[in-house]
Amino acid sequence: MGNEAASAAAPEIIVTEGVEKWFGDFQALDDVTMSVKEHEIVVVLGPSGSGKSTFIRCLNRLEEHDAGRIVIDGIELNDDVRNLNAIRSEVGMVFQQFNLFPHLSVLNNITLGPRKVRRQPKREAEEQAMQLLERVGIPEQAEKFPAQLSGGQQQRVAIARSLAMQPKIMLFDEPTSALDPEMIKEVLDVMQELAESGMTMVVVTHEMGFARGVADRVMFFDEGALVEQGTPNHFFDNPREERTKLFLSQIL
Amino acid sequence: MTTMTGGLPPPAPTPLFFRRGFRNLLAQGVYVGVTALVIFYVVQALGGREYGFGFLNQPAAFDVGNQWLINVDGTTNTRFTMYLVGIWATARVVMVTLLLSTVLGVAVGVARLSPNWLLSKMAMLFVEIFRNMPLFVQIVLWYAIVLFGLPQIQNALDLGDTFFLSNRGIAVPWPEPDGGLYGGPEWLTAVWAAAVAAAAVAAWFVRRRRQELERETGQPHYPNRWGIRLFAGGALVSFLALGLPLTIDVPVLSGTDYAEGLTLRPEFTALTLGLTIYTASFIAEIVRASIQALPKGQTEAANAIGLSGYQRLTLVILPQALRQMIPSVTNQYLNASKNSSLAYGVSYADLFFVANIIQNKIGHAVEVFALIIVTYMLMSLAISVVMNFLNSRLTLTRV
Ligand SMILES: Nc1ncnc2c1ncn2[C@@H]1O[C@H](COP(=O)(O)OP(=O)(O)OP(=O)(O)O)[C@@H](O)[C@H]1O
Ligand SMILES: [Mg+2]
Repeated sequence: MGNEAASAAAPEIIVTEGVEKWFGDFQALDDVTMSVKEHEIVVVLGPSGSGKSTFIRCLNRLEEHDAGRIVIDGIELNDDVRNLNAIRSEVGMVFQQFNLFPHLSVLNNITLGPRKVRRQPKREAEEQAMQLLERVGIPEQAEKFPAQLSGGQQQRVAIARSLAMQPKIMLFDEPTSALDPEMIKEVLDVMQELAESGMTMVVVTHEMGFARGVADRVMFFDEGALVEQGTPNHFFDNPREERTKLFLSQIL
Repeated sequence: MTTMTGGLPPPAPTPLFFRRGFRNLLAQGVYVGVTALVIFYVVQALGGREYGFGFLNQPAAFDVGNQWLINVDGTTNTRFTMYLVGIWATARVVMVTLLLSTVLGVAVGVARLSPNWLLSKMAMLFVEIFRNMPLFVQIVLWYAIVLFGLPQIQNALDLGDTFFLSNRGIAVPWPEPDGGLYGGPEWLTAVWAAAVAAAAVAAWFVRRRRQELERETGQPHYPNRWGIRLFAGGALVSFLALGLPLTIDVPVLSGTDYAEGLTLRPEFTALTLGLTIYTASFIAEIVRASIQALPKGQTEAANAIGLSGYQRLTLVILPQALRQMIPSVTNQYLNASKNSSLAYGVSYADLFFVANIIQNKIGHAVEVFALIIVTYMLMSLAISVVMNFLNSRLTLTRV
């Protein structure tokens, strides 16, 4: 795998082997085998309907895969409920539609998981939440409700909410696709800072600037299969596969 | 305008009948005419008689069974007092029904969406059976089941000497005022109740004060913890200090009836059961619909931060769904409260039943029905006011 030398020694934290996913007769994932090393930033590209969302949703078991294996930090994803609980606190996820809880204030959105799942004392959870809001650049919005925030602010709260569970891995499913252009940057900046802090990230995005500038590796999906992967330079400048070339010619 | 359309021919005049102004006038004219006719007819029909509510202040001369926590005797009391007894009978059926049907309805509605096949099918069966059978039939059916299905009092089902089931009703333990250990007067119970209320008020103030402190200083002041401590402590200390001024009366069998405790008579039981289950089946559908109306992302986000199924339901899904539900549930509450008048079918002495006794004995149908109508309207108004308050409180936090 064409990884950068820096991360070559790091252990593999996500491993998938021959993963398949079927929706009825429709095969959404076809024999996906890959691995991600600790602290690695992987960007997932591919045309609409190629299975990008389905794949990363399998990584925290929002979708159950039908065949193959997925192992996250040594935890096998299967129907063992103990593993499910372990995986949910290990992997954070940020959605295209933010999915903040509209009936809770920003602060409570962030502290809900730590308090109810990790049984953190309220005070401690709120202090941590304020630090996270500081980190995503909106500490002054703590007492507001999601509907009172702009899209970019909401997505940053959603990132803080995920980080509050202190995950080792963060999944992003098109985090900027529902945002107005002027808000995209503020979210990408937060993600870049997160990447630099050493988080392991798998990001589905159409932001080619982010893929080129931040990613260690780019994966290209088409029709449910992992068609090609490589460093951004290699991927954008010297793609091997015809399908990759076609895709790049359409978006660049 | 005319200058702009100079090139156009003059507009054709609209015939009178097609003009909107004329149409409106016509509709209003018809409405006023019909109303006037109805009023004229009613005045004609009711005219030439004496009206007044004086008859309500005369002795009732009839008894009302199935009283609860009160014992009003109908030979010395006035008709109006007996009517109040009827209102109390309606009120307790309605209160119990609204409470239980909400709990049951939410449980069934949630169960219908459960991934557990058996549970969801059972919930569906519950809804489809009880929603599609006439309420009156259900009430009479429950009455028959209680009367003929349960054993005679001599062979009453005895659950641990505390609960009894027979066709004389269901007997349950109930707290009774008591002089306490020092043999004091019975109103010591009232004193204790006042002490509990005082503790509640004090706890509320302390909680608020501590919340403010917390906000000002940023230091933890544990408002909830201290509020609960103060309330529980106050209630307990005053209870002990007054020498336990309350006993739990356990029912016993005596001859052909129960003594002590509280007896839920077959009429009350059948009516409440019928109303509760019928209303719950509708509330279950409302709960299901409002949960399904929530975006799927809410469930996914809750899962992604690791909430358990129960936490997801109680912390994320229900708080949002309940908000959506309030207007529809209010309708069900209003229906249930008015349907309580089906008490007539099982001779449960609710306000409508008592009013009918009065009307049969003394006449005054116009006054009696006016009274009935006004009473039900006031009850509906009370329910609406409470629910509107709830609605405004709940939606307040959303903004
Ligand atoms: N719950 C579902 N039921 C049936 N089909 C589904 C379901 N979820 C996804 N699919 C199908 O699986 C395929 C892959 O979907 P997926 O959402 O993973 O694509 P994607 O690559 O994320 O596309 P996009 O860029 O549009 O988000 C699509 O054809 C989609 O219609
Ligand atoms: Mg997608």
